[in-house]
Amino acid sequence: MNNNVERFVLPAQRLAEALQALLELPDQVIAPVQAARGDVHFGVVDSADQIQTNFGNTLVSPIEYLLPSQEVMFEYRLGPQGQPEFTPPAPPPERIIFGIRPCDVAAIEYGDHFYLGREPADTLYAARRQATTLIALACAKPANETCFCSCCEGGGPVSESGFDIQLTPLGDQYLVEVATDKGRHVAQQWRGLLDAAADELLEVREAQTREVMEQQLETKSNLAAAIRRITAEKVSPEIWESIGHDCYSCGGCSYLCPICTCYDVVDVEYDDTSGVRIRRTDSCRLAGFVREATGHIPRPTAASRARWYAYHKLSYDYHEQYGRYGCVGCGRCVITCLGQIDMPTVCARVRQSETEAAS
Amino acid sequence: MEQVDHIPRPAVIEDIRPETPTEKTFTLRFTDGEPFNFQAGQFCMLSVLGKGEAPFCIASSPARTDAIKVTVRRYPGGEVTSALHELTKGDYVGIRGPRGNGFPLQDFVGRDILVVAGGIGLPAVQASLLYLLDHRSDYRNVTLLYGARTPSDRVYKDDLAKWEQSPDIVCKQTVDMKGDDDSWEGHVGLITTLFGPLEIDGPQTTAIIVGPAVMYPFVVAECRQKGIADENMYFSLERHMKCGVGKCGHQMWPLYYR
Repeated sequence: MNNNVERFVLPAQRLAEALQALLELPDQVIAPVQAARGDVHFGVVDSADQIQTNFGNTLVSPIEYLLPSQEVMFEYRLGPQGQPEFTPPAPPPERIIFGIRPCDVAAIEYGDHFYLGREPADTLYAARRQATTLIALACAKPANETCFCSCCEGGGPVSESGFDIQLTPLGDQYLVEVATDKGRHVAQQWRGLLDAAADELLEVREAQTREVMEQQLETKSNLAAAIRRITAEKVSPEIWESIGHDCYSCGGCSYLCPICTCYDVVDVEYDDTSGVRIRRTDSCRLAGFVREATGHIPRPTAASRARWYAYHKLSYDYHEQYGRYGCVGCGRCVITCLGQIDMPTVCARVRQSETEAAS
Repeated sequence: MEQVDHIPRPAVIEDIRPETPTEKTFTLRFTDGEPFNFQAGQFCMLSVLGKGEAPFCIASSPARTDAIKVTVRRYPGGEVTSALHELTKGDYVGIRGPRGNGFPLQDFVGRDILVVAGGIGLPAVQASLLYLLDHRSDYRNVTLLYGARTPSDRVYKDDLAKWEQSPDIVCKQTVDMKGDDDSWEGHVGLITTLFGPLEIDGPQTTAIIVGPAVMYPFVVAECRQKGIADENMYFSLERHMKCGVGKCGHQMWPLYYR
């Protein structure tokens, strides 16, 4: 737990005022809003009453505002002799993202490590990250039935790091944690709304957190067993075959996974002399992902790709290089997978094969 | 901290030289006046704007920094390689880089160097060969083993002919089959058949090996047979990278991004 975190309480009935105050700060406030048919998603907000605070996590992670599923890398224009001139994208707006669930906070922490912590740093991510303030909204209970955050290392319904400000709902009040200068800038705006936090509040929160975590124990041991088996490469080819058999190779899991970072780069021509280069989310579950100019596809079967995906996310070798396993337990793969080969199910199947092998 | 160069540098095509029916060597001169410094074995990301970008090995001497050469095999399914082959002298491309690790040739000073190249792997070691010949007195024996499918599939035929006569380098070529070239009087057989008669001081030798993936296990076995230690073998392992910087995920070999 970060010792520099300052703690306050915000009475629940004053949250609306706090949200209204956010709108006076940056160029944009991004927060959970309700779509016409009831789904909640992250979007640009122009009045505080649009902001949802009681929602199951959104299908698309708010990391979308740091790593858009599609973004312009530059525009080009060819001169009279064909010589190219390049225009980089406009600088990103100053943003506050409010309402980020702890699983997505963990994914953004990983994004920081992946894009900024390893050379060379990604300029597009860096500019957006620099301009963004993160306000986390911890979960008093699992946001969705599909959640399994506490099964993932360091994960749980409350973030321990990675946020500028975190709000934890505790009955009729919020515990407000201010962790960074960006967070303090926002807290200035909330001066009249915040009261000092009693130490006992942390104990209340811990009890609440423990209750959530105890509900996820079965998945937790499945994940641990799968990590062990996959790292040791002791999963039989038949398991990957059977998982591959159930895979539609639609890429849904990795498109929604907030910790998947792979992207493709393509040029789009406006006309013969101008166009744009974009990058967009790619998925290793698609056969074309590793296709080479020769037509050769090194991972041609859904089974080989399922194995690759699991290995990349769950092998300890991966942990060693990237500082964490490739899952935050947000449960989006559980919601989207048509073949029911989401992360918890794959782990259960890998573990089950271990039990069968032992008996 | 080093940052990603998403925007390419413009370069003009100074020369195009056909190597084989499917391969051409392009000389690309930078037009922004800045030098392009690179290490032998590094690659660049080459753009045909509007068509896309792909990684290609730099096949010219690192001593020349105003222009680079790349040798490109055309594939019908390859958008960038097809677009490149349509370009003519004076057309513009974009270049990012250099990227990749290169071969640490300075670390090999005083040793014997064995370069093994299969097919379109030769362009990937060409910069290294030119560097070694430029700094010839720093190294002991330099040997090149090159294997191609048929005589007409060979790239850099002039350089190879010159090197076969040169006292500075031992150059051995082979082809898998003669194909329709009856005039070929050289060796016929897989690249591994060049190893047998070769005299190599194994412990003193560092090997640089670039070719199709299928070639590696057989060449490694031959190198081990000659007493070359595993830690003295250097390879180029390639996937079709999209980003050039080890972040897009396409170039991953199990676990390593670069």
